[in-house]
Amino acid sequence: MLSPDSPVPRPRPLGTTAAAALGLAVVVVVVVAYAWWATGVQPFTVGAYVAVGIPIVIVTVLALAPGRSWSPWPGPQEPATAPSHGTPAGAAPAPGFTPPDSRSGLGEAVPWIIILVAAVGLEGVALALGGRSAIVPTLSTVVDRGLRWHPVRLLLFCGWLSIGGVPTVRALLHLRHRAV
Amino acid sequence: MVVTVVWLGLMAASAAWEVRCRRPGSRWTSLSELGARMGRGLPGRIALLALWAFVGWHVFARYTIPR
Repeated sequence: MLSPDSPVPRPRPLGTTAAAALGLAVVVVVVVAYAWWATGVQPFTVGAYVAVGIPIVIVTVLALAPGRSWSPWPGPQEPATAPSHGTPAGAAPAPGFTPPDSRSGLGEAVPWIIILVAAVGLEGVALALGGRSAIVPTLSTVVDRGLRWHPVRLLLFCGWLSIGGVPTVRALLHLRHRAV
Repeated sequence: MVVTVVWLGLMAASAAWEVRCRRPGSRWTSLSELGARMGRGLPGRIALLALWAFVGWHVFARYTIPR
């Protein structure tokens, strides 16, 4: 039961959710259309450099423009209510955040370190053999084999865009949420 | 050919491990959590952006399809 002092949850206007869903759908369509065009451009041309450079510039500007005042970069470990990292106590977490847990040491990342060491070692050997060795290819040579198909390039490009774009957009939303 | 399979195995293992780490109650850190933690500071964020930009540039603007 709510006490008289408890904040009364405000109902979300019906149009807000629909507008957000529509906006998201439009963004997805635009991004996929852009990715389709970008992955159809011949590599090693000005068009290819521009097609890849545009998202790099946009994401870099969005991620770095607020500078140091933008800390913390939100993530799954973002404390929901703790007054650390500049988050005021009692502040509601932004959508998509999960409560913190106790995972903070390097020990929990050991499997990733093993994978990284294996990948770096393999890449090092492949590069030492000239980079285009049929016996020990580099990671990019393996990936290049899949790039002959446009749908594969599209899928990988969309994945690459989401890896750079989603955390940045989420950080901006988080900032806006904190500002309100 | 063997090393190509090893590369594909590493990619599959990474994807599977990420899924495993994201399950509720997992005691292991996911790659996205590591990235989020690293990106909280400006130097870490710049490093992540540089790595991301390099991967995109290398894979999508400067690729050569093997014969």
